[in-house]
Amino acid sequence: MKVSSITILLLIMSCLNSFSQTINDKKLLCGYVRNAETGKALQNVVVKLKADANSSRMSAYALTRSDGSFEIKARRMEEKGYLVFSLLGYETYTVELVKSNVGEPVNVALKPFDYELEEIVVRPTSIEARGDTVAFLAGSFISPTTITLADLICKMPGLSVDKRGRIEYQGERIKKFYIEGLDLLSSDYNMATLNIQANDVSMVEVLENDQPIKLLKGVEHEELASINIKLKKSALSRLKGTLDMEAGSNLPYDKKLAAAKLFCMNISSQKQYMATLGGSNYSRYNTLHKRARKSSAKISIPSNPFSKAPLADNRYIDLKQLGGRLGSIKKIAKNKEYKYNISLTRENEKYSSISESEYFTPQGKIKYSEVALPDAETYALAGNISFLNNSDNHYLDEKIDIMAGFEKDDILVDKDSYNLEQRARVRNIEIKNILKYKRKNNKGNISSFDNVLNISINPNSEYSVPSQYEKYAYNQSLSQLTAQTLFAGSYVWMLGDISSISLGYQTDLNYTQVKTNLNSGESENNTRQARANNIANLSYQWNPNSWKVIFSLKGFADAMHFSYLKPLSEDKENYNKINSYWGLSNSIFCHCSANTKIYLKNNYRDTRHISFSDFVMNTIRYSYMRESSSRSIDNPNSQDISSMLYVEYKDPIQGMFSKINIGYVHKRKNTINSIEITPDGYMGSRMHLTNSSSNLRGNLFFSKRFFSIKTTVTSQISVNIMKNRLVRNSINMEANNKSVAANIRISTNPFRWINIEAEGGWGSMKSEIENTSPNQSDNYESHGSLTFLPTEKLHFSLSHNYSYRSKDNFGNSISSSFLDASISYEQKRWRYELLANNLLGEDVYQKVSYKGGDVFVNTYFLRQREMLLKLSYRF
Amino acid sequence: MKKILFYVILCAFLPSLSNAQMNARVWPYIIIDVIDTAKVECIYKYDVRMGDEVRRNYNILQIGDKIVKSCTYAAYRKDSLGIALDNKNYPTSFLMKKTRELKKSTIYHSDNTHTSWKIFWNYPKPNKLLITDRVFTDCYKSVETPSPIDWNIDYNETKNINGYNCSKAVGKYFGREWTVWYAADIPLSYGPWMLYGLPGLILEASDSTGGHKFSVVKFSKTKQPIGLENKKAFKTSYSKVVRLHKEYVKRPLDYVNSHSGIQLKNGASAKKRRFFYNPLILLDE
Repeated sequence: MKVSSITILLLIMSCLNSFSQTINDKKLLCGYVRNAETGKALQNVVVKLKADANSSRMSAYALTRSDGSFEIKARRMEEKGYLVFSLLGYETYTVELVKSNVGEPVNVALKPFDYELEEIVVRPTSIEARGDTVAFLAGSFISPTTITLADLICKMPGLSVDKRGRIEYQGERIKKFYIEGLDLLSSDYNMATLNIQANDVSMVEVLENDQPIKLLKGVEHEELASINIKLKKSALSRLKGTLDMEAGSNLPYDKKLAAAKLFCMNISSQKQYMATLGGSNYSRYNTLHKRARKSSAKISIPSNPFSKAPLADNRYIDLKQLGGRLGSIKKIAKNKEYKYNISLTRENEKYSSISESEYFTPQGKIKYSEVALPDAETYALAGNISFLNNSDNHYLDEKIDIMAGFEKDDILVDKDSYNLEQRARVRNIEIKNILKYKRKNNKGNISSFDNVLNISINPNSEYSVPSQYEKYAYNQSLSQLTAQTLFAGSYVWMLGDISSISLGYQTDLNYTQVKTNLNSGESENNTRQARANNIANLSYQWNPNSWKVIFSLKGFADAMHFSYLKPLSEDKENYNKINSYWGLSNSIFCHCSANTKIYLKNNYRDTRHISFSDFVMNTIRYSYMRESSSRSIDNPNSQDISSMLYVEYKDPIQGMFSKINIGYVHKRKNTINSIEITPDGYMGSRMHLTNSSSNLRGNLFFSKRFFSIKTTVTSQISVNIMKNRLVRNSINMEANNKSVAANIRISTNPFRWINIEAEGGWGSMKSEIENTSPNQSDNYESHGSLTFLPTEKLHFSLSHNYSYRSKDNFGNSISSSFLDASISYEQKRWRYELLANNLLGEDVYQKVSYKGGDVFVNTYFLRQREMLLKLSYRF
Repeated sequence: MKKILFYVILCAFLPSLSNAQMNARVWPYIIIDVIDTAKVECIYKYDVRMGDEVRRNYNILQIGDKIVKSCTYAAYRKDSLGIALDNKNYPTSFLMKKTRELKKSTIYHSDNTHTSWKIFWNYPKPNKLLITDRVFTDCYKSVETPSPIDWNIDYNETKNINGYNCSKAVGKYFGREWTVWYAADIPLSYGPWMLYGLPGLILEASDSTGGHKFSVVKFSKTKQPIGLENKKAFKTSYSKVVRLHKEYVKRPLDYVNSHSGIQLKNGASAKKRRFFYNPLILLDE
């Protein structure tokens, strides 16, 4: 019995022993760590217990105490283990553990050594995407030649600024321009872009799909982007600005040139002031109120995707200008602000040019020529004051606008025109009155008088909702009344030809009522819209040669409009909403439209639209847009995918016009991929590819034109590559069987002290109009500038423009060559610049451009050699 | 008569003499003691969220042979200037000029998150923690024993942070749940603020509410001295300092009235000010 019990006990012991070969719960490992050289205890040494010395995984770890001791409670201990001792500045030491030795103290001495570290320096990324906002860090784009905000924005991918300071993002004009979150200048923001110093800017933010009305955020999708400028702290809440002074001479005419401009601003996130005062006897400052300029002296340079016109305004326009502008905005509460803008300008503008264009039309080729010799004098005053309340549940925009202008054009005709526009929007009433008077005196007299009075009750300037949920139904509580009267009179007297008296009177009455009844999750909407249109027109014509008298009286009120609005379904919990809308019009043309909008919180947003027109223009339109994402009101910054389909069909007899537009946009972090295809029977087909992360864009353009029995095929390739902030290259090509054009643009700085920009283009055209012009004409253009930057403060710049046309319409070749030079030097706040323009004394410039198969020839008469000294003081 | 004339002239010149003395008056910038030399420094970007508003600050961790210091970059710059001026006396105009220079814009300067703590590990003795802080104008210092953080290491998740392969660890500390990423290749057991106790330097840390986030922006070798400002401060426990801070932020006027003796009236001009304050430490009330 005794032997058997001992045997059983031994068996149990052996079983337990074999079991403990694999599992040994909470084994204690301990020891000491000291410095091998000094013998002192080492604290915070990382002691790791590992099953494999080379593995990154550890089964337990401990840190040594101040006396160098450590303890590790190992839950699991294999047959073999390793203890790894490491501390920055000491050699790592590994001890092999054998199971039998576990429990004995492990004493280790670490040797110090000169360690190497893989150092980290995270530099701020030049472009950062945060949801719908793309932020460009200004410092990454500033080079010694970057002076103004416009220069800075030009260097940012996806953004461009035109000569007048207007910004485009991804080829679209921006919606709002904010400085520190406030919209000080409304749409006339060029005062800021052309004057704010680039060095004062800290960040440029592009707010994509920015809905400026907070109430409509997540309800109304806004396609256009807005820009927000963030200034450096050193430029905030203090007076900043520039004083520019220019003096010089136009050498051939010994004409003295002088100009001065003062710009100042005081910007903070609560209140902002910006003002400019300037005058010039030869050129224009673009920063004055754009609406102040009412002159008819306009030059239209056709948009050409292949070459930018290198001709600056100041080469051909002789302009005397005096004006000033002041803008201010103040935030009076979190969501409330008021602002005012006032500008006063006097301009006298002269230039001469000839524009010739050849257009392809289904009926044949049209040649169009226009001579412009304006000598226009304009006085303009514009001012507005507004109050804005833009909160989550209430939007109110009150505004009083006054514009007055006088314009006189005294070269071809003695023409005066007066314009006075007043607009006031207070609470729910908007009153607008426009008064225009024109007088023209050449061979006879032409006078005309227009007055338009427009009164709107509940214009779309105020929205109000009582709760967060009902923002989805914001427009259903809207009722709107619009009344407009137009009174116009004109008198025409042309000696020996015709005399005419005309009187017109027109009233429009438009009433819209949208009722909403939301009861316990159920809603019922009824929409009634009525419109009455009454036009009376009395005219009398007198022709003394043929004794022709015309008397007419017109009056009709047959316009009728009916619309119906009803949500097909509504789910309060999921914020689901479907709106549908159908419309029908009957006046001199028939119009029918349907509109469906679906908002779904967690899934997608749908918009569909169908439209039909008849009688004058047969049109069928269909558009469909779906936005699929996890994007919602609660999570507005999530990724989204949008797809869009747009189909349009017009009368095939009139213009063979059909269009299908398929768009696809996928946003993820900073990457935007989009493909847009537009097959177009008349204009061609177009494919547009964009990838914003690599700054790569592509355009493919194909045009097949049915013109009598001739066919024009056009193809276009456009590639823009921007490797980094200083290298921006682009190649554009266009070819068709009538003309071919190519353009290449390179911007680079191979060394720090040299900056090269070059652009060259070549075009060849075969003229369609025989007997009046040669068959073939070549056109070359090149533009190059070389800037030396021997120091940060000293710049030498040499710029050359060359254009050549082998044969003009009279068979002569025309070439023009411009050479401009400048030296500039900066000393603290001063900048001195010596400019020499048009040194070769060119007096004519002819530019030929191509668009599809159309050809545009513009001839400008130029200002010749000018020397200017420019002083600029920054404060 | 001559005596009277002498005293009159003396009296006339006295104010100008005292004025000249005022101009020539010298002060130390701050009194600062160098307590160790950092061998490694690590700068963190620190984002604090309060409601919808997010503010950014920069923190620095200086790791010496014995002592480790954690504070804002603005405080580090001030201390560095103090060390450079070597506790010597300088004219007021010179000190004002230096202060202005210090305040000149740099991305690291901004201290708009009301972060005023400085943490000194292993000071005044090993295994102790000295925390200095300021509430309104009162300075406090607390000596605490660091409480261990029970880190739960997740070996399945790794992340590459600026070239370092980092492991994930989750742990609760002072009422917040922290998710951190540490680099095992850097055998230093510290991190931003008071986060510590992992077998590698913490390069990124964020709390579960999204209210606080630290991300490394610079990590390098250095030989900069670690300074401790020597100024009068109330000794108390840090939990009391946190409570006082909370009290000050909640009712600043009451706090100033009760602590400074200055009687401020809550008049029309004293508008209610909302402090940007999101405490790192959540105390059990």
